[in-house]
Amino acid sequence: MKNITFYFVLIFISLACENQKIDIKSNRKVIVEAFLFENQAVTNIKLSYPQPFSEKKEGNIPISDAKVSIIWNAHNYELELMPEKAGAYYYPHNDLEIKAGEYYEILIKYDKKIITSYTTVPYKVQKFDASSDILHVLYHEGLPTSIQINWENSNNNYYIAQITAKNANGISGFYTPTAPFNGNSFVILPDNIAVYGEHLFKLYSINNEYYNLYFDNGFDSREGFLPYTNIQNGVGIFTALSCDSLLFNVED
Amino acid sequence: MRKLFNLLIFSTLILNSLCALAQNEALISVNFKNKNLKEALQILSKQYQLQFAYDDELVKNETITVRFKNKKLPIAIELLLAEKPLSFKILKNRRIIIKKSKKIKKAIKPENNCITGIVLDIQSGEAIPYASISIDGTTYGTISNFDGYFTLKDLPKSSQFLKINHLGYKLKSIEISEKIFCNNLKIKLEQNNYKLKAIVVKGEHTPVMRVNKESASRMSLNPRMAENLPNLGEVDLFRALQLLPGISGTSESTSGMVIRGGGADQNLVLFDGLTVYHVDHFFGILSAFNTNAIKDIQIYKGGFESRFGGRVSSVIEISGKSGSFNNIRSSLNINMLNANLLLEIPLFKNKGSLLLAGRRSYIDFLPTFLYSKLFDNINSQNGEPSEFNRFDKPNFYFYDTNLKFTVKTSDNELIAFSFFNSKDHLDNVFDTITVYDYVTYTEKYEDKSNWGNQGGSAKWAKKWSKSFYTNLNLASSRYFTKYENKQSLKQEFEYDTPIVDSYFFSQDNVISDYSLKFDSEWVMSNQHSFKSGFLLTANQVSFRDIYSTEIVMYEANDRNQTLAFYLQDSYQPFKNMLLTIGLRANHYNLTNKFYYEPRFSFSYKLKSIHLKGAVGQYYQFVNRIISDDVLNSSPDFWLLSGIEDVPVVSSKHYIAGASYENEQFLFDVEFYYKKLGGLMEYIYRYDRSEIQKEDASSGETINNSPFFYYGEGIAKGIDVLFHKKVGQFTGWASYSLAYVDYKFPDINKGKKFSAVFDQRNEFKLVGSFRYRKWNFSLNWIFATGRPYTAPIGNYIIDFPDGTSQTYVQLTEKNALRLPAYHRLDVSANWNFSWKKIKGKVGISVFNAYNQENIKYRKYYSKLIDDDGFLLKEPIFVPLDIKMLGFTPNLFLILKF
Repeated sequence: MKNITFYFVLIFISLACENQKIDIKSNRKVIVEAFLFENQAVTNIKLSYPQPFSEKKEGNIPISDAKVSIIWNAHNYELELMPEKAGAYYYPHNDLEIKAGEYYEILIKYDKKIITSYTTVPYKVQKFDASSDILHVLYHEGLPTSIQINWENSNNNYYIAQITAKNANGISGFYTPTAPFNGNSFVILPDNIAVYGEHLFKLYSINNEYYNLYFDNGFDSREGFLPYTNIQNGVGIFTALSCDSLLFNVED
Repeated sequence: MRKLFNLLIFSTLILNSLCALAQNEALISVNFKNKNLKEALQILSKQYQLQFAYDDELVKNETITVRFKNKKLPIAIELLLAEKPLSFKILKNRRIIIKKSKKIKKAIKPENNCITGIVLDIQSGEAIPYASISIDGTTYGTISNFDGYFTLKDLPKSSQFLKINHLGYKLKSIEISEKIFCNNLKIKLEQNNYKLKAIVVKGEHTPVMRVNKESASRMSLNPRMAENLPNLGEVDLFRALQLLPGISGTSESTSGMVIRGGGADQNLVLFDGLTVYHVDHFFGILSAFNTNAIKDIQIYKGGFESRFGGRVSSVIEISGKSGSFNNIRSSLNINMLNANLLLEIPLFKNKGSLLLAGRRSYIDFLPTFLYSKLFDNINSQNGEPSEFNRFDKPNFYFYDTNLKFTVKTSDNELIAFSFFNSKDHLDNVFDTITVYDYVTYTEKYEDKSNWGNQGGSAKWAKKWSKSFYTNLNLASSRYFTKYENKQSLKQEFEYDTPIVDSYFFSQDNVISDYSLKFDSEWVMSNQHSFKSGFLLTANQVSFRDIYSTEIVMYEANDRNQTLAFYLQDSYQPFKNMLLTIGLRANHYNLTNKFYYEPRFSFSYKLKSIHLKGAVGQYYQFVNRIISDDVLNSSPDFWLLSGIEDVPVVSSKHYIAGASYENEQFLFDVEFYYKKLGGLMEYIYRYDRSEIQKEDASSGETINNSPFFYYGEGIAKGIDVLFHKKVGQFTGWASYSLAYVDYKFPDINKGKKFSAVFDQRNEFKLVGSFRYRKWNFSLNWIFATGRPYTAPIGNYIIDFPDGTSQTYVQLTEKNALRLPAYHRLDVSANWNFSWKKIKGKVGISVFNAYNQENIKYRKYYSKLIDDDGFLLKEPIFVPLDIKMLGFTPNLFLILKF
């Protein structure tokens, strides 16, 4: 009886042993960084693998031998690898148009896997105007020292805002782009401005997926939740943006 | 792993060897058919080294036909001489004198005979619940009920001796005669205490636990013998329960009781009939139940009968001591965390009793090494480096009290009132004053947590006739948690008015439970025994989150009522088989639906083997949400099903097993399969892709709840137990193989994943050895690791606005396993007596070889490399949150 118990236990333990090693290759997923811009050519599609923690290297590992295509209006547009830029793909012709309100799919074939996603190009903002087209850095009575930008946002859409100095050599964007937000106004203050002259206020309309990924990081093993992705069978993002801008001048 | 395997084999061999050593206490088996008695005695004498003394004339013409296996000497001789005009006396050195009996035994009249009565403790006069009463040599028997009452009807012809047995008591045998029929028998059992003045070890060591081989998945635990098991501060029955097969022994927390893949909130914990919602002290280090005030624990790991309801996994039924009816008794326990006092006072000329028990930690005014060790471990579980820990030995204490008043208004009636109160208090207050650049900064920090359980019950039990018994129980319990955090920063300037910033946060949760319960038993015949009753339960749950005094973030105040009826028949169609068929019907007011729970169990005795099985449906209407960061907020909170989409939890149990038992050993194996529905997970962070889905038809964004996820699951496995019950060395080896798989549509992209408490393999060795006045115990647990999700690498997303963000890529949910868990606990204690005081002093060591077991694995982002340079992108580095290491404890128990 004793021996039977002993062997019984032994057999069960050996049968139920589990492998605790992490098989990185079978677990890793393709990273997709795919951004479409309204009325612009498709030039910003990147594919890669994550850098394993065991490797003391930085940056993603590019994938340069995938088949990538954008599907629009039931037509397949095959992308090509950018010359001398590993892991980056673009569409070299001009028949693929990125239009607001249109639906686009991405199809990636790599390593016997099919990776897909879809997005819709957001519309530019409506009723987009500024309280002034001149920003005075110094106080003069009756003259504006701030500019309020307004637009309509009845659907609680998300945006990112960016200011660039139009003609300032070497300083293309000294005003750090904002994090995604869902308001309907923005105030430009002199504190944010470093040079005089013409500036552009750019307001990008973004989709929810952009917002979700932007704010999603950090975890521990009790939670075990994946960072946001809208990619099927992969990670990362496939999204679209549209941009509108206002010009203003910065003076004393 | 190889070392562990060797240790496992070595330990098993030791256990087997010790078992073999203990076998010298020979048990007797005979098979005589029409054998001359004299010849039979001669055979026995030769086989078992017995010396018989008898008058030849008395035995030479007697013939016997008898067959039995593995009986102790007195019972064997009783059976041998049954129906003969002979009596016997056993002397030292296995010498037996056989002489003519003065009374003549008669065969029992078969019909209309019954034995009814109550089983009592001989010393205290307390009723003994769930004692086994059987007719020796037959399969006929019963079990005393919660109040010790029992009835056996229509005894078989061959009935000679009544055998009464209960864990922790000496076996008692009573000769059956007409005198005892239908009289209220008072069967008094003697505790299996060793007599300290003249300790003679004769293999009467009482086991810590007992498997109920007639019922599937039912076990009992002996509170007195659990004193000898290794402990962590106080003797803890919930910790002892975790050594049983099918109950996870790796959580190191009394509150984290995972039974056959069921969550801790799926266990119904009943204390004297009242439902207890909070079962621990000190963040799970100790259970909230004072072992000194507990008489009996029954555990039903699944397939439980219709009288229990409201939980889907298991039942832990605790009977509190009523206190001695015969003499004043008291005891005092002291260990390195708390002191524990018990007082038992008989009242009304042995008709009543009063029990008072109280425990309180003293670490708030006398911090001990053990407290520092335990608290540091809890604090480190925040995962912060030690210099950032917010708590530097705060003011902390816990206490609990029990009061029970029992009156026996007659031999067949009793009234009892039981009260229970427990509380934990954590208080961390500090002020810091810093002067910088002519500004004085005064920071005040106040962090207070209180949580506990209060309850009371009133019971009226009456045995109306030899076959009809009722029990009415009115109970109320309340579990509360209250957390408050106040912070303020005052900036005092040299020439300006001071600025004060303050912050306030509080969280309150209270669950109240009111119940009225009625149970009845009707022993109709030896074939049918009916149980029926009802339970009316009302729950009230309040929850409040308040920020900065006036902002109420979340507030809920919900109530529910459940009305349940049950009916059950235990039917014995033939002598070796028992079928239990029951139905429980619940009406839950928040969903306004009826929930039906049909249940069925069977046992079949095939020679020495009991085959058993159970199937049943179970529903649960309250859910407990556990917070991982125990120091940051109240430890948990409860929600009612039917409120804000919180589902009714359901489960179907399928259990099959077999037990083989003889006088010395028990081998038990059970298979189970549980289908779980209405599961809920609460997660602080959330997957935005899952909570904001666009409705394909309308295009609108659907905002699902960010914290609650719903799904279903399956738990299945096998529990194997080998138990050596008697002898100088007792103990058990158990093995559990378990699979717990969940499927949630909004987690892991809807794919199946292992639940966090899926412990695939668990092996336990528990041994207790007695030598003179010493008790030595050990338990060793080995379990394969629990599942977790791990990052496999970093990836960077370059956003078009010029920014980059680093993310971590993970395995699928719970795809990996933490390293195996194992630990050895040992204890030694020495029993002594001085005048009327009996005592025990001992040392217990938890995790004796200081194994660094991992509770969970956390990841933090690292911005600076090992050489001190700033990294371009952060990398995620694992941080293992460890469980408790080597922890010794001293204890002293005095009984007056």
